[in-house]
Amino acid sequence: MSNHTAPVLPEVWMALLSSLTRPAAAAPAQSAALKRQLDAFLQSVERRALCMLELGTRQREEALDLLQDCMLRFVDRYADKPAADWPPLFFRVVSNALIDWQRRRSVRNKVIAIWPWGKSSKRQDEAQPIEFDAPAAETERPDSIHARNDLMQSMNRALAALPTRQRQTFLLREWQGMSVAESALALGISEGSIKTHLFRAQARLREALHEHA
Amino acid sequence: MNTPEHSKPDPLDSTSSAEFAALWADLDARSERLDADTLDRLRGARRVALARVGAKPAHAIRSWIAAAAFAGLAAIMLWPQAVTTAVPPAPVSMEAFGMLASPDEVEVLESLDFYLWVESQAALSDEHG
Repeated sequence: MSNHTAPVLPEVWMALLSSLTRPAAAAPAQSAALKRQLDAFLQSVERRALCMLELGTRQREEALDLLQDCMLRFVDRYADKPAADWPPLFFRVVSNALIDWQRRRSVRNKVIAIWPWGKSSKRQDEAQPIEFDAPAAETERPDSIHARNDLMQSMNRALAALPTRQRQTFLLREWQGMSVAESALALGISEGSIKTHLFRAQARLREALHEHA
Repeated sequence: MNTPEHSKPDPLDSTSSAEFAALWADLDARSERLDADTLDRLRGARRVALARVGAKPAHAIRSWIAAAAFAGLAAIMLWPQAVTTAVPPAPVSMEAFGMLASPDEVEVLESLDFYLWVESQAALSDEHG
């Protein structure tokens, strides 16, 4: 009589062990498609994200470094999420990175302030005017170009001077065109807070606008 | 005509696109007008980030194996402490236990000096008869 009760357990364990130890058989076609999709998405948001980071850090190099970190974190954490959720999730990574950077900079400046050899070094978080010269139309008069540049410099300074949450809310709601719900997801705050931050940011920027008028 | 509450505009949620149109236009122009070095940096950042797509599953499996190994090691280290091989206490002598259990015996023990004195007095009286 043949032994039909051949030991199955060792075979099951061997199969399980081999499935755990061999490299995950990633579907190449799916991975390539996902990469293309992610590439297109990152290209669509990277410039504005860089602008937001530059407004927060006042330095192009810092902003570029932060943006690279943001892209890495985004791909690591959210690449498997639905593509429709990518925009608020990406800007969430950007906002958190900016806040972390500002906290580190604040701690660094405090240490420098009390360190005897640090008093002579320039504080890097002092408001640096963001140089911006808008392209002039050929028919535009020099005095109007100058006035417009002055206005834009003033607006950019006011925008950079906003508290981070207000600035991010303003840029995401008004510039990026996100809804209240998306902005709340991006910043990790309630929808009520989004409305409050937006209202306050608008008020401050209107003051800057009217001062120049 | 009264406007229903749900359709009234929220004063805290009004975007002001027209008011800041010039600002948006300038920010758009600024973000579009990037120098070649910056564009190279952006391309490089995207390339590095996209290289990680598809690398997660193997990493997750290694993490699973590492977590299981750590759990096993922790169990091995903590298991002997959970099983205490306490030496059982020496059995109490039943005689001693019995002696202490009775309330009468306890009273005798507490008044032992008195009873010893009584016995000594009785012995003295016997001697002197």
